[in-house]
Amino acid sequence: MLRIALQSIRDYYRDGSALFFGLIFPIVMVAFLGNMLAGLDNPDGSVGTIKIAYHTEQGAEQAIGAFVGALEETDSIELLPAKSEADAEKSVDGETADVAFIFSAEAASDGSGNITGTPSEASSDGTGNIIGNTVSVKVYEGGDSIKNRAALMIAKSFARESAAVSAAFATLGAENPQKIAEFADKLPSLMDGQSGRNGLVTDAKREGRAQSMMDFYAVTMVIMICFMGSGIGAASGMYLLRRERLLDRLSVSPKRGEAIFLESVLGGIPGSLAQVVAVMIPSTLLLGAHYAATPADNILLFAFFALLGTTVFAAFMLLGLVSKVNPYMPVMCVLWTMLFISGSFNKGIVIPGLTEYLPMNIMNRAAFELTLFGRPGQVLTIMAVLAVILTASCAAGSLLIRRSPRRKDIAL
Amino acid sequence: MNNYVTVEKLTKKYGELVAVDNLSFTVGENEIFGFLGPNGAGKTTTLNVISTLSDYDRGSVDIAGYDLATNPVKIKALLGVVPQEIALYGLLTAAENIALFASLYGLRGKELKRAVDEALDFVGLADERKKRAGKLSGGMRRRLNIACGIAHRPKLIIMDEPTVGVDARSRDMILRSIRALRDGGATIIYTSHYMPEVQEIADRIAIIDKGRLAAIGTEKELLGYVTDRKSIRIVAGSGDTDAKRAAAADIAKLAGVKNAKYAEGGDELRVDVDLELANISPLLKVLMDRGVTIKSFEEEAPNLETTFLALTGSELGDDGDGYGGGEPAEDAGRGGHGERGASGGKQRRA
Repeated sequence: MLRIALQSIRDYYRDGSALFFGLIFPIVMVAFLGNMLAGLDNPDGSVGTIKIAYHTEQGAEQAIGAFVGALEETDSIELLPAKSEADAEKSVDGETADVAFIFSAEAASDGSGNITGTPSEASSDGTGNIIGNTVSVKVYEGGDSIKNRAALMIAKSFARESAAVSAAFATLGAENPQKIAEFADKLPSLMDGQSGRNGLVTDAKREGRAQSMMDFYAVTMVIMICFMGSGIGAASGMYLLRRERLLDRLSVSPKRGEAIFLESVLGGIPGSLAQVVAVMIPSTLLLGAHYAATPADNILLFAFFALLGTTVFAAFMLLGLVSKVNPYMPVMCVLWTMLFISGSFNKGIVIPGLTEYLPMNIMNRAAFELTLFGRPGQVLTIMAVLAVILTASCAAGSLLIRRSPRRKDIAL
Repeated sequence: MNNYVTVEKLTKKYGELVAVDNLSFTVGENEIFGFLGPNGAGKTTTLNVISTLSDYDRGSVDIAGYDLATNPVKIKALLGVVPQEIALYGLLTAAENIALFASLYGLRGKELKRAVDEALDFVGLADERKKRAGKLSGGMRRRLNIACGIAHRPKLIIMDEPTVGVDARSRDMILRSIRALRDGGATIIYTSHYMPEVQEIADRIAIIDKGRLAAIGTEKELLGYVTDRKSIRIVAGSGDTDAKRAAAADIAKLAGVKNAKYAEGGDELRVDVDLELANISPLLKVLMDRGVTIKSFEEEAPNLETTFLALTGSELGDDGDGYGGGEPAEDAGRGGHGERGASGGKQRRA
């Protein structure tokens, strides 16, 4: 019983390269990305005081009053009123301000969003098509990229809320204040839906929860290794088993084909679990990473990762069973590319319309829902889907690997 | 002798290619059955069908009274397969490899341990039991490959080129092992590209060509298939190699000459003819005209190689109909097919 599974386990733990890339490499990545890059791209890190020069054009004063008031109350922001747009721009050029905001009233959206700027600095949040009076903000960026990004986030936030309020008035009508109030209550979640992970982080901050870079990479690296370690190992391993005739050797035995495949998948589970443990334990104990807030959520998170690794292992084993070439390189290239644009390594590298549908991104978002808010819904849904994929992969693999000679009695 | 394997009208097609065409033969219980054929003859396809790895299109295969189409699992339990490739887990030890494959046949506990020990002893690897398969030499891996196929004491052993690429010592040990298996009650189907090896150990031999049976019988019976052909061995003196080759080419064009070839790197020219020895003066004249000195010439008794050549029109070469590969030969004496093909049973062996 389970000889093939035990053999697979032995094989894994005797393979130095598999151990390195499965157990050592991911935690090194967590440490590297979590520590070394934290200063460059830290959503919670301090960027010091941001000096914002601002000028309000006629007609926009009332609309920005509350916003400016909120900024003035923020310790890390120093507001510097300017008499004109030119003065604001000069203060950025002269480095007396880090960035400059120019607020102006608009009769209607230009359809490209609510943030404008100098041609080279312009960016849009894509929330165009606003009908009604609104305020736009032009941003002049300075020489500090981190402060520029922070200022852009502030400007975007202002623009979204301004646009959303305008939209509410336009669509609901001023004659029904109750509906406007209901709309205002829903505003944060609507905005989060547009902003993906940043929205999650914003929500988390709103609820007083923080996610450090270490926390972020601890989760994303576990998901990465579930795909990279389990996927590449399974696809290549099964292909080599076929090429080196070991699969034939197993198949000529009385052991059923289904058992051969299922035991092979079973043999991959300890490796998948070890990969998850090898990141979660050291990242928590040695690097200070945080996962979910409660033990129950952490157990669920571990189960989620374990199921993900096992499913990827089974699915890619199936690939190795049918592939005509060694799938090692093609799988590695595809996975690395997907990882690169999935936001796993850098949340800024995204392709709108694609990134949010990539498996790694979906897994990351579900994991953050659980770790940041203790909301298990997405994780449980994905686990159900993974269970279906795992079952289907095992069934397909069993059918493919099963080889009983049949006489076809064809007409010759 | 009872028939242990009965193949009747077996046909296997790959698309339009008929790899095995209405092939019928029997293998007696407790015999070593040599299975020969040139490239793409259908040997490996036939063995794949018998070893339950391939479907087939028509015909029947009966092993120990079980029909392959209806009782594949019963047949699998009787089989031991030694593939041409060294199919081992490189990171497992020799003993672990044997234990894994033997356990697939239901061996457990002490019985399994005993089977592993016996198999290791049998192939002379008892001292290497804790060495990982990937760390063993080529010859040792080849022997371990055999041990993995026989540890569960199968009744029918299929060996596809089990001595490819091994040194002389390992080969002799393997051949002794195969005889011992036969003496222990197993039936063995054996393929090899090395004709003398087949002659040495096979009780009966089948030659297939283009998927069909060309001849079957004992070595003596096979030699009787070809009565119109003789081999003449001419030993030339040392001299210009180009002249010798040119002479061989000229001789091959003479009437009554079927084949003329030098042993690679040697001075022995073997000429297959359907002439009487008294009528070979044109041969000798060609050699003399080319300036090749003749030290001796003699008529050779017909051998299996001559018979194979006559029946199939080609020499025994690499199998191209399925399995391929094999590691480089450790033994220079077995390195080239030309050498062993040209000199029949007299080729050098390290």
